[in-house]
Amino acid sequence: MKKNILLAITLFICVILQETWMYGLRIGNAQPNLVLLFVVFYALFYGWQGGALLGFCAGFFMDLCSGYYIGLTAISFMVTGALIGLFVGEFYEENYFIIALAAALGSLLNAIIYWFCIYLLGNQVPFWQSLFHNFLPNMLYNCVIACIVYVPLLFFYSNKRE
Amino acid sequence: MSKPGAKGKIAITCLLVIALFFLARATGGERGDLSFVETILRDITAPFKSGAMFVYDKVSGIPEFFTSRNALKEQIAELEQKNEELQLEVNRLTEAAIENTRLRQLLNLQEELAASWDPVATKVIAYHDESNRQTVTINSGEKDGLQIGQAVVAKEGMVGRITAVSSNTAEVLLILDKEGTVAALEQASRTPGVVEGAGLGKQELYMLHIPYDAPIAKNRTVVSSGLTDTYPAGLRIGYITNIEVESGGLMLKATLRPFVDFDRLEEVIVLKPRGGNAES
Repeated sequence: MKKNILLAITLFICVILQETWMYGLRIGNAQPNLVLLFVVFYALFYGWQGGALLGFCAGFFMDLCSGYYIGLTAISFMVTGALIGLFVGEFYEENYFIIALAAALGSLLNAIIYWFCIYLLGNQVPFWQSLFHNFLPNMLYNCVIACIVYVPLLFFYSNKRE
Repeated sequence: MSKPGAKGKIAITCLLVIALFFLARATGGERGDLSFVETILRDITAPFKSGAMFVYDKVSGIPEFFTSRNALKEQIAELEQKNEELQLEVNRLTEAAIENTRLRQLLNLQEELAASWDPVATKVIAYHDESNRQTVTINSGEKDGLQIGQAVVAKEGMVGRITAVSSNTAEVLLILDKEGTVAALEQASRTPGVVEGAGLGKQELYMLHIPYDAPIAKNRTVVSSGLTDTYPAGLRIGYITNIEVESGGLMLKATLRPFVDFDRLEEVIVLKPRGGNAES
């Protein structure tokens, strides 16, 4: 129960920061996605089921708070969380390469899934242009931010576990 | 009811994805109003978002504060450097202006003296202020026709006489020295006397052997009398600052303040007598 409350508070803070501070951290077209990174980290530690569940909650919460298509972010986060949890499996906590790789993969997967859903809903957004102008810069930025954010997050959760 | 297995969970996830997709399809496009849940959530999160934005605005202002501070610092440093350069320029120009005035006055004096003397303008290159002898070295010597005993003057008045010469320099004994005696007279009353330095490094002169009843007064000018061949008559020496009775009680002794500022002596003129030596 305590864990769930802590998780909910963290998620809430991430969503608030995502919609306020992260916009200020834009570099060109790239903007870090703190909520997605949180989902990816969670999926790394708790597997595909945890990743999918948190991805769904986080995405749905974001959709309700500020979304246009209610459910699209939930789909992309949920699928991303599940796939990251499935692909990465067990890893050594202090392996920053895996963290960066998971963040990059998660970022790209999320963007592609979202694009695909949008495409299915009838919005013709050019894929390659989106890939080079948004997906890849976002991926790189998230990669960097993941490494920066992961250190205090790991410290915090390690202490909580102890 | 048993918990679903892995396959079951995957199936639930897939169903959820499909459901969400249809929800997205239903909610996309123009909607009149937000749903109740959306309204509530947006209202709840609004104060947190505004608080976060407030903090963000404050925090994002900090780097700007430092960058603007640094920019200001750089600007101040730049202006200070410019100011320093301008100050140097002003100093240089002031120095040039002063030198110009000084040289012009010296030139006038040189022209005045040129009638009966052969003036040689030169520069002081060394000061020797010892307790028993006050001299300066000038950068003209035997090669320029200078000889021992020739008078040295500045634009303000009398400086001294040459006591030693080398081929390129000469030593000038200042009238401040006890040995630097000059035949003089008080300009207004024409009272004669002998002027000698107070010595001991003092910037003072004494006018000695003044008759007891001489009508001299303070602040009057004393000039050279021209009784010797060394100095031309009428060269300004100093002004009287004090008058007292000499130790014998029969003569007066006046203390003079020299017109020449010996601490700032730079350019001087050596007076070469036309067609003769000035050996004293």
